[in-house]
Amino acid sequence: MLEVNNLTVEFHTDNGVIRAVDGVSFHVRPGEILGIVGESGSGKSVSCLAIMGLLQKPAARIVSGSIRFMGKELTSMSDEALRQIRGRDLSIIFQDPFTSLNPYLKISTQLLEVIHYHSSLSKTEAFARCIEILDLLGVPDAEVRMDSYPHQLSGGLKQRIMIAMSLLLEPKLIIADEPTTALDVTIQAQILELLKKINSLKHTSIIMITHDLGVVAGLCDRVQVMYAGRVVEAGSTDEIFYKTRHPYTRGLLDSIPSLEMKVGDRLRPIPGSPPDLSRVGEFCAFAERCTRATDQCRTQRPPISTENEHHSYACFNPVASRGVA
Amino acid sequence: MSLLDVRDLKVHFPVPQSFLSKIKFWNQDPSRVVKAVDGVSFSIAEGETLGLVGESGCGKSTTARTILGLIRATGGSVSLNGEELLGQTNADFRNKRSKIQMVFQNPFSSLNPRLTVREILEEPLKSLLKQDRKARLKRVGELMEIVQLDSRFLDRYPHEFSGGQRQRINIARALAVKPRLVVLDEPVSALDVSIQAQIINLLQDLQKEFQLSYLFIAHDLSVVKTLSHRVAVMYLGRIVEIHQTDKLYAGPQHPYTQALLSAVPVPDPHQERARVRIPLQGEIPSPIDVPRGCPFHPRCHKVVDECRRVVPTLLKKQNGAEASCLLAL
Repeated sequence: MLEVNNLTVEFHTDNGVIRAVDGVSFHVRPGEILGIVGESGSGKSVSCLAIMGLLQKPAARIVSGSIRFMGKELTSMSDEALRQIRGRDLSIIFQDPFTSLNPYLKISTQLLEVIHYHSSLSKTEAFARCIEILDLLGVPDAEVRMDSYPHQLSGGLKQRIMIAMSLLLEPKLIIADEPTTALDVTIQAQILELLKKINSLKHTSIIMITHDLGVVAGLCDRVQVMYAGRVVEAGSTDEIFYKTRHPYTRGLLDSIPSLEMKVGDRLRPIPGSPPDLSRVGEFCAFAERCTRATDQCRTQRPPISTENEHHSYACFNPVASRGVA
Repeated sequence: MSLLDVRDLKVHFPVPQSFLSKIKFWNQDPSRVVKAVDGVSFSIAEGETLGLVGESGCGKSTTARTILGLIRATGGSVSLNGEELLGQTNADFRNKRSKIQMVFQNPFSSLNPRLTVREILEEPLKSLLKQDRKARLKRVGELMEIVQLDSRFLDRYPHEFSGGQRQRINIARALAVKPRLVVLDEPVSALDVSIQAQIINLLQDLQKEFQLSYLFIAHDLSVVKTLSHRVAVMYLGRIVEIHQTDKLYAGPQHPYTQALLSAVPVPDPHQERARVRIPLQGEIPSPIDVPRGCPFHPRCHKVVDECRRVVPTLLKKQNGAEASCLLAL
């Protein structure tokens, strides 16, 4: 369905060139939900913006690599051809439902625009299609909502409208960029249920970008963990959670508080802070925060090692796989 | 004895009337108010942390800001060490303010970008404690050590720091005047996961070292659990359940607490796949038109007829929790 190979994206800034995505490869199969996990600056959003062709030009540039979607190469495609695919076969749900809708336009205008651009449905058919999708997403009084402006809706409803927009033309792949980060847990649970429903009902593939490992655990078939623009570990959800090999993934899992903890229990944070991307070179970017780092880590970039067909990682001194099941 | 005592606190905001409604025949009910906080009572003991949780708009931040005197209360009482804080003149309040301090949510906007770290930390020492230069210098050095920042950074500006470091500066500023109670309004929610844990651990250490009391506001229930001794759950301006943390999480009495806990994602795939979520219908109603009867009944999964008529009060239940639900025993 989607194959990203050795993708590298650079930003030209006043402080020099920053490599936001550095040789990233991954794929998404039909009907699969892939989770991309990482902290701010890990390159998870940038790599997905690159897939969508939405990088800010000329500051950002795809330096090398290929992105193949349904057999077509996206990196060399003209803007016009890309526009045909984007919104129809490939769509995105942005993080912030509060700023992603145009405050001047009614919901109906914004939804219908998507249909008119890509299909030849009549106005009535298009309207019926919108209502159908809104109903599917559990938006109450869909017809009234179509006539509303964004400011009249709550955050949860706005995010449903955003999801509706991405679903109108039955895309093959949806990229969801932290779709629930701005929402309350109860609304988050509703939205995640929706994504699961769409996935099983329409067989739509989803890339879920998030920093919340809890979200990944319940939703995703496979996970890839990113750090400083690189994929440090990738595999099936169970392998990543129960047979963690990369010290960064282990650190992330250890540093999140869980409902099972007792009052006064200590968390085990990862020391230091995320790296300055302009200083990352041909060595392990995590080495300065890693307790297992050796001289090799500070001078060489760890290659991708394969644990099994469902699991790979980039580390010279991986943590022992704990067989918890 | 409790350090902070909040009794029947009410904060009501008048709904701004539109131009048209000022014309006589358009007149709407003039008594329309937003009941942001509507009869909240709790206390916090020395060295204790009370967690305050709830969805956005439930009034948790308004409660905190009213305690600090940043918002004027409509009614009720807030007392610190037995001394009433509400209804005082600003000058009087200022003297007591050094006992209560706040750490804000956003480490990027809560520090003045034009001041150096030294100036930021000196400010409360000057305005509240009227310390001389020498005493301030000494205290600023101590504060940096307390929050584990290098004193060499004192003459830098906020933009030169990462989010986690800025939150440390925020904490240092709050501790500068040696408060007894620190109000933490979502102190880690803007930070990366690996940094969150560092700040949570720091807050735990500081509490032990200085016998601080915390009012900890957060929407992330797992973060609340690691830090709080007791937890209060708010819904539409009221506390619906309050109990010791372990017991509240193990056996929530109020259906809203049950739904809230079931919605928290757990970072464990096996558990997560097997979980049964309690679906919460719709969204929080507007605090202008609070539903009749139990405010939670339109979204409740256990609702019975009585809930639509009777307003439940916060009562002690069998397991020791206080909950405002007719059905909880």
